[in-house]
Amino acid sequence: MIESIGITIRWQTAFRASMAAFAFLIVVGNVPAFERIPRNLGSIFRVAVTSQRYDFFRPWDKRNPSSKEGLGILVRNNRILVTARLVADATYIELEAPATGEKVLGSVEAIDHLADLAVIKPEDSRFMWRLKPWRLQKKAKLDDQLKAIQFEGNGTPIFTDGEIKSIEVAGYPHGESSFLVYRVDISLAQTGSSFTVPFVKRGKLAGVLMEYSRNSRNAVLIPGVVIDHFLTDLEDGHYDGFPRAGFEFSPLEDPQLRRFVGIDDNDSGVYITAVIPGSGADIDGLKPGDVLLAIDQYAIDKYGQYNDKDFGRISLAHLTTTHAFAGNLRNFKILRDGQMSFLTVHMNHISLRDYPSAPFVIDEPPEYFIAGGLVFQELSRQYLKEWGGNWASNAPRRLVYYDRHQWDLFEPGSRIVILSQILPSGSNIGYEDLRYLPVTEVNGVKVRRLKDIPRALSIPIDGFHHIVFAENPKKIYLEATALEAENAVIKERFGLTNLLRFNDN
Amino acid sequence: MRFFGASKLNCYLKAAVILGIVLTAVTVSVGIEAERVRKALVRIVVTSQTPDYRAPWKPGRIRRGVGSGFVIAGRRIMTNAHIVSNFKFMTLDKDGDPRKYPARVLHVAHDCDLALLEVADPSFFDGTETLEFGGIPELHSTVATYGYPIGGDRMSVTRGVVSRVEFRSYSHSGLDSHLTVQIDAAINPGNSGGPVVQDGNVIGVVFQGYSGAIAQNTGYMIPVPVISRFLHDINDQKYDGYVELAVNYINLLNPSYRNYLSLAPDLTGVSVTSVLEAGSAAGVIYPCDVLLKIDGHPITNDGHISLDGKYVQMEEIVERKYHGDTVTFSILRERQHLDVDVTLKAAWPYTIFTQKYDLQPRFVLFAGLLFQPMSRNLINAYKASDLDLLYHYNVFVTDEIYRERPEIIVLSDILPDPINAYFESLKMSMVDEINGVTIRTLKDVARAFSEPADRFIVRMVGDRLPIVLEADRIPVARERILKQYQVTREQHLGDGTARYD
Repeated sequence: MIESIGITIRWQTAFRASMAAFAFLIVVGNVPAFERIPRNLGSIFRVAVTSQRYDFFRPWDKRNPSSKEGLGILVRNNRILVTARLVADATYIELEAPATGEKVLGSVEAIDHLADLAVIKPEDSRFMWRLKPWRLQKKAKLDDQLKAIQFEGNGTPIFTDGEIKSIEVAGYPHGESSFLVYRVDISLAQTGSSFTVPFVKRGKLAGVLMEYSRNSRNAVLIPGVVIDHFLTDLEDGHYDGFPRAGFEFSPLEDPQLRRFVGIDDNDSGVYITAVIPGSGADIDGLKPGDVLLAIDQYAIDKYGQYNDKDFGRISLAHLTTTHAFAGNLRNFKILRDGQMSFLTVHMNHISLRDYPSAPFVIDEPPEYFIAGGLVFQELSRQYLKEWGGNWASNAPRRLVYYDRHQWDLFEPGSRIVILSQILPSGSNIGYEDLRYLPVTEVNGVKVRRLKDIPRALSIPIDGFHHIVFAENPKKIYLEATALEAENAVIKERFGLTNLLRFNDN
Repeated sequence: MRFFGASKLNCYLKAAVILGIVLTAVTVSVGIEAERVRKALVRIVVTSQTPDYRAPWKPGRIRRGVGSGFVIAGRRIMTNAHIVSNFKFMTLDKDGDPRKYPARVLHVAHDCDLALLEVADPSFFDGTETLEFGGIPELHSTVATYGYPIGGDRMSVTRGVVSRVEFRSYSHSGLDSHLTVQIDAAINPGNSGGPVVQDGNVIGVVFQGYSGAIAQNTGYMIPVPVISRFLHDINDQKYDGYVELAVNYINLLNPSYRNYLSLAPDLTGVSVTSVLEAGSAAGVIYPCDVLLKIDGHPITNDGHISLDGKYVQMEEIVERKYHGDTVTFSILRERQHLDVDVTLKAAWPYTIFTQKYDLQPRFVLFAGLLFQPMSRNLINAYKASDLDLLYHYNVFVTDEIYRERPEIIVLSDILPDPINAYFESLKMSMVDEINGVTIRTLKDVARAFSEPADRFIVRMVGDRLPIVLEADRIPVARERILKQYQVTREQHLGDGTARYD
């Protein structure tokens, strides 16, 4: 589990939550007063988005445009809050005030795909003139009543009531990070705009919709406290991103294992199974095999939970992510070889650039480099996802393994370059079936990122390029002059506008 | 009335014979052929017991199956290996003889799906015919298949033509590929093991096909070169199996690659990319060698040769050889021409990929934890999907995992008990070490658990929790588990070689 995601933990919490709800009904036998009809509906906009994703199997091409619709909520500092997935790869964003029907163009001001949040700003700020921003409700407890706000096509608001069934730390859409969520039992109306449906409590924004299952009536919300972290981070004009310590842990349930690691009580501590190289946890000395007993004043139980004053028992990941800002320090109480000690650990944001295989590539086109019909790309989970919903079983197993174990197999900041396919031409005859091959070396130069390929190809050895792969056929040769001559032909033949793309930033 | 019945039958028989004479000579010879094959054909009824890899201490599930076979020289009966795999008891039926003759397997070759049976009762051969073998049939020539397929109890004959002759995988072992002949005669369950006949001689043994839902009129037979190899291999009363070159190569169609090697345009061959360390060619052939000729046959730029007038993959030469035979390559190494001899043997690391038969699964059960070596049978039995496990299995040969670990040991299952209540998430993970000792084979597991210790610490490959088993809790747990789950045996380590499951 990644600091936070824990099947066991999640299950436990869900179980407790349902028990709590059950107990409440039996003992109190009463239904709390429903949330009153909210005002301030004028500060909720309809957002229509046209987006165009790239095709990672043909990285020079965009897919056909598709459109999405959702809501945007005016929050502090004149920002309009949406979920990141609504505006991912957007080419066109239109805002509409449901009350007046007035429309204006918008653009993304900041986006955090891991937290699934973004803010957009209208082209004309008079659009928001005299509108009152929604304030955030940052606390919640089980059984709280929330009111979801949706709109009919003609702008008539629809209100639906729901109840918080659990508060826990859970995986967010890209599976790479876990933050707090509320699970709400609610029967949402079927309207076109399900992205960013706001849920309010006592006139404040308690959360926005991240996922909804109509069958189980289960709405998963991004809670106010996560939204607040995102907005606060933005306030200095520079977005740092959510931090994390950079470790994985397992619950310490087995009494034999507990005695082995030297814990004498029955309920504290988790076992550190992995530490991400280069992360705060790594640099500040946390090691696999350590037992984490407490973070600051919070004791960690054997499932990795602590007692939060606002949310009750939740995963320690809340302490290292939403509870902290990049650069903050946390005091870890650990047990190593039976000895207690303390580590001061930096909570750092792990930048997308540090990942050897990026968990997603959104809002920027995939990089590629074509030489003599050989298409080179960097491995990313976005690329693997081109194999569809079951990509983890269907994509080439070596590439999936490299992605899964990227932190163990590759240095932080380096990349995995693959020969993804070959566009057939005279100079690459005989090689046309080669594909999905990790490239380790070209002309004696170790390949650590895509940019190494053109650099290495500029120094052929005695007129030949030597390209080395991690698996069979291990090594191929290409004449430098043949490669050069063929480039123009290939560009023409396959209608490519460019033989390469590097995103310069 | 009863007289009528008999005379009617008689009429039909006469009509058939007369028609035969009136039509063509070919029909007559087919009729004679059918009668001769009928006397050689047997119906095989097998009771088999398939080991259960999920409960390897049990004897396995009992099944009954039916197949075909035929009598060949030396009072032997030829059939498919898959008919007699895991057999416990088997009887042979002859057409027109109500007796059931118990038989046993004389030799079985799972890598080419052939078997030879023997019958103890000499009277079995009274009135039987012995079939002889022919050669490789021509495309579009007519063949007849004989056997006991579903749809009736008596012998069935179907006719078809030869559609294709090529290298294909033999699904019985799941890994091996040999020469096959595709025919369009109807082939159905029960046909397996039956002869395919042309001009009175057996030219193949029916062995696999597609279900009608996938492809129609597509049946496959094992051709004579494969059968002859099998019969020759067992001359010493022991089946050794196929030998492998265990060399990977890349074609030399690419002009740049050819220029890099300074190959003259008339020089053809393939370039070696890797050589299996545990294989025949290790130390003789090296990466970057260009293979020009195999036993004097020039190799084309995509690895084919011309053999007996047919265009076949160069591996066909190795296919027809035996353990200890040599194959001579003319190679180009660093621009020098030279001839090298490769002494052929099997490539044991590849056997991890083959389906095993006639063997009890190997395992160690300790504190309810079941440890088994990774195999194709194991994957199928558990429907394994764990990425780390499948990855190591996939690259076992190519990334030379076998050099470090001749076996991949898996914690395949857990018989639930208080002592192992918290290990569920570790199922189907690979064992790395026990009490600090690297686990390379199943024997290492048995040995590690037999060493005296206060506690056993089992560490898995990957970022996973260690398993801790306190020694003083084990005896009680052991009693409980053996009783609860009716475990009759706690380990089976096999015949001493780690290389065979």
